[in-house]
Amino acid sequence: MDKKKTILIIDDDVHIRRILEIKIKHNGYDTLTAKNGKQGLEIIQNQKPDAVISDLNMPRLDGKELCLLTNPLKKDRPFFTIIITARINPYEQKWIDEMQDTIFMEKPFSPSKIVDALAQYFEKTRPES
Amino acid sequence: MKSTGFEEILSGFSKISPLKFEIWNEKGAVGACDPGDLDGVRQFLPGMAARVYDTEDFRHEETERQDGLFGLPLFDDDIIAGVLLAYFSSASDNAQVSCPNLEDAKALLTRIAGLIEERWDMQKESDTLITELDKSYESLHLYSNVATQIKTLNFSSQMILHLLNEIKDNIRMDMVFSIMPDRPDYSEIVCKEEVNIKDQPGFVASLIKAVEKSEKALEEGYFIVNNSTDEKLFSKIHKDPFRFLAVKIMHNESFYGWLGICSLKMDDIIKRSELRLLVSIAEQIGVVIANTDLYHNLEDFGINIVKSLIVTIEAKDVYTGGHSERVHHVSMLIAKETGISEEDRKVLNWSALLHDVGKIGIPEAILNKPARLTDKEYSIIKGHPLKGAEIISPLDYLAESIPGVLHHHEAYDGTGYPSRIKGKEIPLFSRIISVADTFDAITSDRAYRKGASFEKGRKIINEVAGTQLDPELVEVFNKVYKTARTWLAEGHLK
Repeated sequence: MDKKKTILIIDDDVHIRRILEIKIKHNGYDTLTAKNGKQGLEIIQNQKPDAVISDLNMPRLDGKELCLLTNPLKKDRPFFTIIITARINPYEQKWIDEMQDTIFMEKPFSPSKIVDALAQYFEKTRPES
Repeated sequence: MKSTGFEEILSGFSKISPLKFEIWNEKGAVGACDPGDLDGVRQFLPGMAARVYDTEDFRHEETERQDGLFGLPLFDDDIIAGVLLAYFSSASDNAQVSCPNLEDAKALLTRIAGLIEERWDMQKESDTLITELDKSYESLHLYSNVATQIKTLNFSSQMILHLLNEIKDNIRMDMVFSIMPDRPDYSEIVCKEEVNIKDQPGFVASLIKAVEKSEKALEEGYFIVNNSTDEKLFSKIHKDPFRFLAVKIMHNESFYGWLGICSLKMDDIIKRSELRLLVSIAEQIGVVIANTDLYHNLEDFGINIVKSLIVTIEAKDVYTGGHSERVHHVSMLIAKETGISEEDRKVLNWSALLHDVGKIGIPEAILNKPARLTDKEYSIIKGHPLKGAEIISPLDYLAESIPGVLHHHEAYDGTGYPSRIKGKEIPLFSRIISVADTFDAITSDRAYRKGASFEKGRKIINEVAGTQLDPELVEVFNKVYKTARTWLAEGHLK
């Protein structure tokens, strides 16, 4: 069987972290949480999660800065990133498109759609057996 | 059995107190102890656990060596989910300690069991809250989606379909429908593939019919049935039991129809949160429909004003009454057959209605002259397309319709007026209007002659294809000719 995937949840709002944590755990993943981009970055570097779900607007390193810093890591070790944001504007769509394996979801987000997106990504990237 | 979260604490207790604690379920010890290692007094634990499971009550036993054994059931929702066991071993190294008395042991065990049960309850409560929260997030997401769609002025059947699908996925219902008797475009049903309802429109129609028989539904604006077999009116609608919710789509005092959800899965009920969500969505749909209606009313109002204007113009011309409306109708028939877009049809609609509006500037004496026109009079007549374009030019809304009016007297070979352009240089709308206008000119009475028959008109149209008229459009005209003739013969006569 596949090893359990680990998902990192980064949001400064504790309630959002909690609900995503529970929802994602319920769907058979391990979770890690961070309350800002800086903490998130450390976890990405040290614990190498398989996917990152991050808010866009956060104190101490926002979602965009985090993406710019972690995108180079994806060359050697690809992982999935979901950026959660209020309504997206074309300018933001552009930088997100430039990132590897990165998508955005608009707030208010649907927890089940996030889980669907994770499953889809892992299905797509599963090595041929 | 789920974790109690107390296993580690109990194993800690066991190290420092004379009593050793363990939690067991039907299969054996749970947590810290090795279930296989049944030395000394532990060999009695499996039997003890089984007996506590049986009696579902506190139990105290002593072995021949005077080891004490205590057991207490752990309940989760009134169902025994495990047993808390405690034992005292007289073979223990510390011989000075004796077995605690029965009352103390019972009190302690009861306390610990209480804590474990309380923790289970809290966990359950927290799970419920989180599930609720999760649902709220989904609802919020759905609602924001709906709100975005609803901002658009023109509601369409695709939007309704999209909306119903979103609701279906979001609240995991088997079927979602909107039924608006006066608006078949907005009446849609979406259904999961595996659901066994063959005649879905019939099913929904019967549902709504039954709902409308109930006074309660009419008062409250919604109607819930959690089990169709309990309700006489609904049990006959489908062979399997189902549950459903229908919410009125209204705005102010106007009733538009019903928004509903239905499921054949009977292990759940329609929840309050689902009702709230559906009511909000139905309210929003009501607002959009009212706005869309308002928009269409304004548009109709505009068209009717223009039609009155045209009647006024045509009143001057004793012979051409109804000409503009007939040209408009035939032009639209041709346009429809060519398959141009809805947007383009709107533009043509105005061009065709207004093509002769410039005739308002032509003296009645010339318009109604029974004899041949002089060159000077004819040049006045030829001024009407330009005049018409000038008349509508201040109206931004009609800007796109101006070319159609200005060029409706151009000829395909370049011999027309006012610009003497030819072929496809002539705007499409003008070329369409030309065909319809020429046909009506031939077949209606004029100041100086009687009108020809429809058949004669069609023949002449085909003769001037390529010179005066666009041959491709004449072909299209031939296709719609029968429909046009029927309509013209039905009282829209010359």
